[in-house]
Amino acid sequence: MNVLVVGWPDGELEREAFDQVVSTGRAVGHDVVAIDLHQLGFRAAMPPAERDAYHGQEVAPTDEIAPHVAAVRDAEVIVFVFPSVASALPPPLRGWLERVMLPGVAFVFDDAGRVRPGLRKVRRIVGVATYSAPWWRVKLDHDNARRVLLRALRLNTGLGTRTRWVACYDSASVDQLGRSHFLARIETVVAAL
Amino acid sequence: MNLRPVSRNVVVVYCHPLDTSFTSEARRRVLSGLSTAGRAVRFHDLYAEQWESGGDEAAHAADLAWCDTLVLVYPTWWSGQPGMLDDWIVRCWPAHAKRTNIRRIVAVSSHGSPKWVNALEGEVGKHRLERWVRSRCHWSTRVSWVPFYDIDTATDARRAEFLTALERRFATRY
Repeated sequence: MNVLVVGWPDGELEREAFDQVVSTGRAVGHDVVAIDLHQLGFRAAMPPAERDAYHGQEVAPTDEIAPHVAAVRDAEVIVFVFPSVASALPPPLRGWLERVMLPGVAFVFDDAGRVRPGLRKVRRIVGVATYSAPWWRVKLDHDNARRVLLRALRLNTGLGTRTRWVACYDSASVDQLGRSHFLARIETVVAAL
Repeated sequence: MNLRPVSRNVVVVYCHPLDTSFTSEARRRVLSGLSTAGRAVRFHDLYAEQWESGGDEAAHAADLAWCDTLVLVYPTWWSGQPGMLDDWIVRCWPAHAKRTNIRRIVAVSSHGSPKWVNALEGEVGKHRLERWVRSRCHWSTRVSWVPFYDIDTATDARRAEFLTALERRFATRY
């Protein structure tokens, strides 16, 4: 399957998780495209020109965005790897959703002007997240990163799309055992795609 | 007996890339409503200030320490705050920072889809303000949610009605 891995690995643990996803995906024979937003220096803010072009059924992506759009169009599995920041996706990853998931790519408008799914090729959405907060605090804060990816984005894929979530809570104080457990779970989930 | 201080100092943070947008007009109505009410207002336009590449964090921190009411005007994209505003929240509330002088947060936001779709998506932006941001302000902070849903199919009359009510709301309530 075509696997798209999008990550904002800014810490050591996230970097290991990102590499684990890519290496396991390649080892089991998937066609993996990896996008490291941290390395690319991807900007969170949508530039005015991109917002200006946003209207209509089909939006022509800019040169910066075009390779991302091509990767999304090919993807059958999308894996997100990131640390949750301030109870949400890290800003560059959210900016990636806004700037890449364009009309004609992620969704289309029907005759009445309502949004309909555009990512029908996507069969799995997987989130690999680290949280600095403990589990109960993440749940109290409504686990916003998870909801954006597994609900908001999920509404734009086909009916059969399944989702998986691999989380490492309290990541600042996680020990070597917790770390290897986290990486092992990533390996299991990616190998079972 | 009213234990809450009368709101006098308001910081308005506006985030939209285009000056011709509905959100931009909403921002103008918010500001004119607040000036009718005679509030002291400090206004930040994140795009005009180029916040992400060169925002003046010290100035924003000073304004956030000065105000008792924080007003956010932004479009809801992918169920939450846009990346630029996200970046602002992250940088203005560093780990364990508390802004206990803030007693009220007002969010004015447009949504492409109807209310039920946003409910299905989890209303991420709303919950983030009501839980994460609120928990880093005063314990009695209230969050007012002023949404405009279903803008994709909204008529001009519905938009105008919302904008008029918005201006009146800010002139009388906050």
